[in-house]
Parts: sequence; structure tokens; C-alpha cells
Amino acid sequence: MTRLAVLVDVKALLKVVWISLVAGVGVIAAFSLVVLATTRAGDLRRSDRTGAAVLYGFLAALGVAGCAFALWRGYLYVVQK
Amino acid sequence: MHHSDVILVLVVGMALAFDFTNGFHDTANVVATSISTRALPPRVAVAIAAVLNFVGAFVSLKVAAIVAKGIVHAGSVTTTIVFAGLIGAIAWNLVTWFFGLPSSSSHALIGGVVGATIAAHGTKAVIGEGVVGNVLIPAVIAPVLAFVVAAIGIIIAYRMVGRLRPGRVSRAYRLGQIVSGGLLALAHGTNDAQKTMGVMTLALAANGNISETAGVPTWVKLTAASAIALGTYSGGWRIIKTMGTRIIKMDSAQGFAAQGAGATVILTASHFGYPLSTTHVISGGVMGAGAAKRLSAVKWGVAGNIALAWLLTLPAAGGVGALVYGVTQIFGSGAAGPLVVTIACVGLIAMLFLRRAQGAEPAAVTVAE
Repeated sequence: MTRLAVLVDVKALLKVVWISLVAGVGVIAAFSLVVLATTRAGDLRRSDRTGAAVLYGFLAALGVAGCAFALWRGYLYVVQK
Repeated sequence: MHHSDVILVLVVGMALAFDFTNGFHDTANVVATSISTRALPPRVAVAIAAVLNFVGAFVSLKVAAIVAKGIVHAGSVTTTIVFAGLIGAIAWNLVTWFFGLPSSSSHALIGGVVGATIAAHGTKAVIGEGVVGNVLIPAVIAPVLAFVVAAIGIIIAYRMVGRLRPGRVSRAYRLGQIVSGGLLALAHGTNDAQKTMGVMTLALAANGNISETAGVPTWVKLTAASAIALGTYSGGWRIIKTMGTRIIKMDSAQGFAAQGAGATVILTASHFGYPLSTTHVISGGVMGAGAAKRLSAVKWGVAGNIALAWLLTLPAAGGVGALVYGVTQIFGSGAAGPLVVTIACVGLIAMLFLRRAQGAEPAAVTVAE
């Protein structure tokens, strides 16, 4: 294990693992929330359930904000030298 | 013109040729999922990927620095070694393209340079820790990580949208794929174009044109970015077919998950300077998105062939690199050896493309377009 730690920057490698996991799964989940919420909001609006439709609309906006934030953070992360 | 300058010109030419084959070979990584789920028409997908690859090449330079300084001792590298390494990488890229196998251009390049260095100076000239820490271990971890991210992501996505009408869901994820595919192309540019920049910088330092500690010259950045963008635009349809339809038959949600997982892993690894294989990462993502739905959805035979190509990449490219270095030494230490090898290679490549052009239109074109 010590020999491996000499060969590999374990700390950096672990950072790659956890950041990829959180960001990757986070983006997929956030976009899925957008898909779910916009579809539900459309259905509810058509059936005149405006209150619930607004709530799903808010969830969709939250999902979009999550995706945009992840993209922006990702870009900043890469351009940092 | 001194003979070492002739070799340098050949090296720069070969490096750009390699960069072109890198883009050509790896187009599939970036666009295959978007094309197979019909998120984008093939030509549009390839054009967007080419532009974003060009942009991505300028975004970060950490990978270039690792390739130039972290794999072999810069002091022991000559332009002939870099030349031989590039030939090894190009040869492996063309062989795997011919068989439609998505193998790693990055590992081919690193393998070629390491092989030629060993042929010239023995193993002492290779930075063992650099190869293991920067190449081999990330090569194992990256595809597994992309597999896990895509698998967890698609499970969550199916849980969330599984009860909605499939038509609407597909349309939404196709839209998402345009963004995730774009991000993937950008990530590819940040990781892959830099490897050629690293090798060109290594050759310039070896020839004394720049110091060993110098950064990547602007003209190197511009030409490398252009070559990978042009190669990407040319498109390797045979590998697109393998990546897009042969590993799994994917829906747009799986395509989005695979691309999202791939882009995050590549961008994060690029930030830390790991020259990982984008091919390995995307293949891992595609397999993860398929296996999470149903293990039998993945065609494990095709996946096995791809894994075999991965295992062979470093030794095969290294073997060709070493062989080419040996051949150049038959003609002495001047420019004659590299010139003879270049002429032979151009002839071989022309023959290969002529044979392909004379044969039937690649099946992938009819499928994809």
C-alpha cells in the first residue's frame, strides 16, 4: 500500500473519484428532475390544477439551475491552472 | 538545413498526422451516442464536435505538461525517438480503426514513445512512477468510474421518469444530449489535443529549439487544435457504429447518462493532469448505462474485444515504436532513416485508404446517416 502511495498521488486520484461521482450523478439527476417536473407541470396545467403545476414548474427551474451551476463550475474547474 | 532540423520537421508532420488520426479515431467517443439515439443528425454532430474539440484544446494545458515531462526523462529524448513513437501510435490507431475497435489514442502515443525510448536507452530512461501513476492506474480506474457514474445516474433517471410517457421523455433527453455531447467534445479537446502538444514540445526541447522547462508554444497549440478538429470532422464511421449500436442498443436517457458520466470523469481528470483515455471512459459509461438497465443488454463479446484492444495498445504501439527506432538506426543517426520510414508509411497508409475506398461503403455510414 505504501509502495502504491509512492507511485500514485492517492489524494488527487481520490478527488477525481468523488468529484466525478458527485458531479456526474448530480447532473444526470438534476436533468431528470427537469424532465419529470416539466412533463408533470404540463399535464397539471392542462387539467386546470394550477397550484400543483406552479410547484412542478418551480422544481423544473431548480433542476435547470442545478444543471447550469454544474456546467459553470465544471468549466471554471477546468480552466483553473 | 541541418539533418536534425529535417527530423524535427518530420516529427511535427507526424505529430499532426497522429493528431488527425486521434480526432478521426475518437469522433466516435464524442458523437456515437448522440447519433444512435437520433439526438443530432450525423454531420451536425460531427461538426459541433470538431468546433468544440478545437476550443477545448486551448482550455487547459496540464495534460500536455504531464506527457512532455512525466513519462520519459526529457533529457534522454531525441527527435528520432519521438518520431518512432508517433509512428507506433499512428500504426495502432489505423489498425484498430480498420477493425472498428474503439482503442485509446492516448495510450498508443504514450506506448509508442515509451517503446522507442526503451529501444534507444533501455528502461532507465522511462519514468516508471510516471507511467504507473499517471497512465496505468488511471487507465484502470477511469472506465470503472464512468461505468459506476453512468449506472447510478441511469438508475436514478429511470426511477424519476419511468412512469412518464416515453415519447416526451425521449425528446427531452435528446435535447439534453446536445448539451452533454457538447461538453464531452470540449472535454475530449482538453484531454486529447494536449497529448500531441506535449509530444511536439518534447521534440522541440530535444532539438534545442526551446528549453526543457519552456511552456507549449502558441503555434503548437494552434496547429494541434486544428489537426484534431479536422480529424474529428472527417469522422471514423466504423468506430461510431461499434460505440453507438454494437455495445448496447441505447435509448436517449442512457445516451445522456453515458455522455454526462464521460464528460465529468474526463474534465475532472484533466484538471488533475491525468492523460486518461477518453475512449476507455466513454466505453465504460456506455456499458454502465446499459448494464444498469439489464446486464444482458450489454454485448459482452464486443466489450471483451474492446478490452483486449485496450490491453494490447501499450505493448503493441510500444513494439512498433521500438521497431521503427531500430529501422531508423540502420541508416545511421541522420535524417535518412526517418525519411525512408516516412515514405514507407505514407505509401502504406495510401494503400490502406485506397483499399477501403474501393471496397463497399462502410456499413456504419448507412446505419448512422
